[in-house]
Amino acid sequence: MYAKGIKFSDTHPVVWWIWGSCLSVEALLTNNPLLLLLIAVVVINGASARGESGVFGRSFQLYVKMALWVVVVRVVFQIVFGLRVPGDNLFEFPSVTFHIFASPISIGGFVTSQAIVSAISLGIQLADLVLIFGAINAMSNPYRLLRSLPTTFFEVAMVLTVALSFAPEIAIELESVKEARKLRGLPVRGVRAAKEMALPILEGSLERSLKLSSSMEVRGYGIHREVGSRVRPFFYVALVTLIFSSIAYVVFPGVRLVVSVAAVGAVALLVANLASNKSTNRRSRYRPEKISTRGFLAISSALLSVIVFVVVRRLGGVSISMVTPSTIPLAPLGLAAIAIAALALFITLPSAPSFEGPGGTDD
Amino acid sequence: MIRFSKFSFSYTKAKRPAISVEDLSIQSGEFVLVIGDTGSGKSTFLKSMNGLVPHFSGGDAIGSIDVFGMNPLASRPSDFAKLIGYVDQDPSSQFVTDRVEDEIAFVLENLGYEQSVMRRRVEDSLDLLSISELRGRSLRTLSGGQAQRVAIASVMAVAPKVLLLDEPTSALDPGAADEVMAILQRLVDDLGTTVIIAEHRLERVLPYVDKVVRIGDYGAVEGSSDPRGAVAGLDFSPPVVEFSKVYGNGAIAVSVKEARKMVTDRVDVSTLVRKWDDDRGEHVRPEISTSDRTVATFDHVKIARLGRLVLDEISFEVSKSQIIVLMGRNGSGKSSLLRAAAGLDPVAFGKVRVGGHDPFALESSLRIATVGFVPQDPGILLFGESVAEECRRSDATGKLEAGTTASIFRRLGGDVSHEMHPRDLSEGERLLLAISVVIAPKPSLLLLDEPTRGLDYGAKSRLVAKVKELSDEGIAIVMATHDVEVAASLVDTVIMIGGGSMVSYGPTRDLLTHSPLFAPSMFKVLAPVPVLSVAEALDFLKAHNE
Repeated sequence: MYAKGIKFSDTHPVVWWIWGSCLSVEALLTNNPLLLLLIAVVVINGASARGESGVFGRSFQLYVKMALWVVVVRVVFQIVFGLRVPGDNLFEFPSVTFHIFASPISIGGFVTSQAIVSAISLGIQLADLVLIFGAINAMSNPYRLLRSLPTTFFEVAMVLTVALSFAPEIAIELESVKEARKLRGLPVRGVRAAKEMALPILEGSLERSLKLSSSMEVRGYGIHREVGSRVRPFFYVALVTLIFSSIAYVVFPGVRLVVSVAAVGAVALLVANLASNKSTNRRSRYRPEKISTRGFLAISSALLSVIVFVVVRRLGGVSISMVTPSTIPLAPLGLAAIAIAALALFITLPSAPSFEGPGGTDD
Repeated sequence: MIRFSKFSFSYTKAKRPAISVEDLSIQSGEFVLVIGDTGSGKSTFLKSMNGLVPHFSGGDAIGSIDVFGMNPLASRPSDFAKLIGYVDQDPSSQFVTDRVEDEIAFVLENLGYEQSVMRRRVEDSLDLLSISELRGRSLRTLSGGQAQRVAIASVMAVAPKVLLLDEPTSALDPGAADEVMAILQRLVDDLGTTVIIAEHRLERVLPYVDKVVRIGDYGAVEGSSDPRGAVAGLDFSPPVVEFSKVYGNGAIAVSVKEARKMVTDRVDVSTLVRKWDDDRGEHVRPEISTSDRTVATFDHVKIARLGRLVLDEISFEVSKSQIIVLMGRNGSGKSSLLRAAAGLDPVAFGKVRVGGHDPFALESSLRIATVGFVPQDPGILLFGESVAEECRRSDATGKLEAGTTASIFRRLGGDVSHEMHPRDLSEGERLLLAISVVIAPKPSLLLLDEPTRGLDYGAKSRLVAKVKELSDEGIAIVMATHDVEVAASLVDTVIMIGGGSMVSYGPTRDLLTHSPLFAPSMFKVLAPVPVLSVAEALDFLKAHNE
């Protein structure tokens, strides 16, 4: 976008979302810690090599910390509360048995290396998902993704965009209220302090959102809102139906058929709405981003990687059960499949460095 | 053309109208200044022109407004997007996107401009405000002056006929403020834009404007095509106006240039300057920096923020009763210095000591008795539901005798009902209440960050008097401000900060009269005679006028 095509080029945000989704599918399909670790390595590399600078780029560190925590907590839980997996005993954890409603619940006991391996695998699996989400955010600023959604989604996208800027805003508000309390010599911890701080924070953020909405209004936001008014209600009904039916599909397995029918109907309605709105929507878009050839190649590599991975899984190459650290299978085909997704990082170019100016937010 | 007739607006449940306009018209291409005390309804007046009042504020409007053939009472604010650009007091609070270029394109996208037109309009706006080098920047990284210019560019993209600006220079240093004013002047001259701005610091704006709209008591709005006449009738006005009222035999000067001409027509300033030296001799400040009077020391302090060095090699001492004014451009690190002194942030290197303690290491109760800090928005320090509760809590946290804070507030001139909610106080009163709660535990050092922002001349001169009183009582004061006139009227010590380090430290008179950017207007009028205030200038001229 800046120095055209020579050294830098921003990759379309959709590319990284597809790439990330493919990797998370792979992470969900295996429990082999080696494969899961490779996924983590690829993702961390991706975030550091193709991440943007700026607020969202910097936040990746937080996700890495969170991922490490997830693994540690998962292993500790396994040791203390986990099911007793039979196998090679490593050590014994002091065990206690409670009798709640006459049914014995025991904590602790023998910890086997099989149990540890499986806990670590599950931990890394969860950590991978956290890392992937963080990496996508670091590699494609969410504002840019929202900008590349179809115009029909504009209003929803706008609300999400504002919400995204709202979260850091609340953090800033909280920080300043805490400081103000320090300056007054008032406590910043404890229930009472939290109660007293909640109001000013809420007040401040509410004030800010009102200001933002008036600022959007005076710059013509929603000026064409009458145009699509006949199709709008259907659009929202379809969107809500889709969201609820996908939740119901998971939560209530008994009604899956009904829910699937509803979901298909909702999707049809959305598509019809998109098509009919194309002619009526008068909003335009500044510099719409297009997916470059490199972007398409990157998407292809991610999709190919998933296909290969699924095939390998069918052949029984990526799953493990009851193994000790020394018997973890290498799964070379699985590793190769993940390596295909890593190709995307070589195909794309790094994004242009954003110009972080000389401070200036000080006064 | 904009025309108000028999228009009045009241907020819901208000007893009297917030603003009422009998008859007022603003011609196309005029540069209009809206003046009035803090809280007099300047913002309400501006917002009534594009329908933000009453559509976003609630309340009732009667009468009629005609804005280039449109009626703001009947249309929504978004219908005015192409006709009126509106920029709020705090530009960064109105940013919708996260990048400069996208922010400017936002209005164009909403109005459905073609791709090619859009590209051109964004380019034009960037050029118009001379910010094309900022295009790819994240909005969060802009300095105050840059943010203000981006906000103006983001409404100028559709080339509106009218531009409404609410206090566009209040957060800016004198240099950045001059740049913004020059740009507005260009919009009026080159594009025929009608520019309407509300502003407190009249000395910056007056020389440019064609018309003054004054909002008086009870929101009565009156227009006047004679800026001189309008400002001559004010109780408090900018230094050059005050000066010319006495010196000009009925003529009113609105700019330094005019006031200067008034003087040079009568006397030869370059010969007078010798008389100043004869009168005063060498201007010496009594040396009081002996160790038992030292309240705070900065010893080779470096301050870093987000891993970047913002201030380097800061060394100075603050003694009892001293008033130090910190000056420097936006983003020069004044606030960082105050925050370090208040113990909010640690220093990267060196030592900060207040009353012998490291403020960052102090426990909260000991800290409030050592150093007091009033941040830019004093309201943030106030948590109570009423003034009385605020004072009671201050007494409790400081373990003071009941009524201490209330009596300090009264002494500082807080003459309000103690049942009032702090939010309903005027800006000036709120500032005094914040200062009262901060100084109640008797800190030896008081830090003020931009205390005059948003204050009218009356409130400002009262604040200056209070600060001097506090200093007489022995409190040392360090104040960061962009307001040159306030710095000049405190006549003590000035520290200039620039490029991340202390550029100079010295008596106010020496420093301010040697800085082109921070020179007070009376010095500009009488240069090279180093006068700081109107009273000084008048006394001096009277003594040597034949």
